[in-house]
Amino acid sequence: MRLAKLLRFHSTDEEEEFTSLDDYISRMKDDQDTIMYLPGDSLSSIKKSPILKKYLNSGYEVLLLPDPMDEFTLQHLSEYEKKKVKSIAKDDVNVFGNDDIAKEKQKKLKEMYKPLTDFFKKHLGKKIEKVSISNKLVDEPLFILTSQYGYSAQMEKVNKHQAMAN
Amino acid sequence: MLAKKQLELNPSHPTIKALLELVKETDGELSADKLEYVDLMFNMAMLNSGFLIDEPSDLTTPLEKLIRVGFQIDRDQPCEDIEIELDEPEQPAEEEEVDMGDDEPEIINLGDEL
Repeated sequence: MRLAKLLRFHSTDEEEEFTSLDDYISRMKDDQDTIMYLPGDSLSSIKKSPILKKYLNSGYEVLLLPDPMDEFTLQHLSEYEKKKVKSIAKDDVNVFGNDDIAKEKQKKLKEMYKPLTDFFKKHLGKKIEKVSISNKLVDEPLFILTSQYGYSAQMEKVNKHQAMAN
Repeated sequence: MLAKKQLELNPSHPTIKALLELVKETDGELSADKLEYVDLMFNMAMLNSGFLIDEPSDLTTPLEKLIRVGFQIDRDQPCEDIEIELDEPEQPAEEEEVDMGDDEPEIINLGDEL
C-alpha cells in the first residue's frame, strides 16, 4: 500500500495532533517490532480500555482508532516498513514477558490456575474459544481478546447492528 | 458471524485469586449467587472489551442485588408496600359532587336535538 505513508492516526503519544506511521516508528522502543493499535467507539472510551493500561505503563505507544474505517485499513495493511501492524485487542501481540524468567513464571501460573481455567471453559461453553492466564492486565479481573483470524469486537458490533437493521 | 473470543484472566487480581480458591474448595460446583457474580464479571468484561451483550438485564439484575449488599440489605428481600395512614377527608369534597351532577343533563339534551 503506497498510500500508507499518508495515513494519520490518533495516538497515545500525540494527544493533540495526528501521527504518521513513520513518526510512530521513529518513536518505537528498541525491542519493539510491531506497530500497535487499539480500535474502539470513541477516543475517550479507547483511552479507558483495560487492555491499554499495561502498554502505557510500560512506555509503548499505541495508535488509537475510533473510526471503523481506521481498523479496516490497518488490518489490511498488516505490515509497514518491515514492521508488523497489530491490534492489542487481538491474541497475537506478545511484547510482555518474553524472557526466560517471565516465561517460567507464566508456566507456573498456568498450572496453578488450571482449576479456574477449566471452570470458565465448562461454565461459559460456546461463548468463548479459549481461556488463558493474562500478562497484559493491570486493574481489571477479566478481558476478552479476539483471535487474530476472524472478527474483532468492533466488527462483531457492526455486524450485529446490520443484522438488526435488515 | 461472531468473533472468536479468548478470555484473559488477571492472575494478580484479588477476585480472580479468591475465585480460584473457591473453585478448588467446591470442585467447581459454585453456589447460585457466586455463579451470578461470575456471569456478571464476564458480561462486564464483554462490555469493557468492546462487545455488546444481548440482554441488559443480564447486567442490571445482578447489579441491583449487589447494590442491596452495599446497603446491608438481604440480596433477595422482596419489595413490600408501605402502609400509609390517610387523613379523614374534609368538607370541600361535597361541592365537587354537585358540579358533576350539573354536567350530565347537558349531554342528554344534545342527543335529543339530533
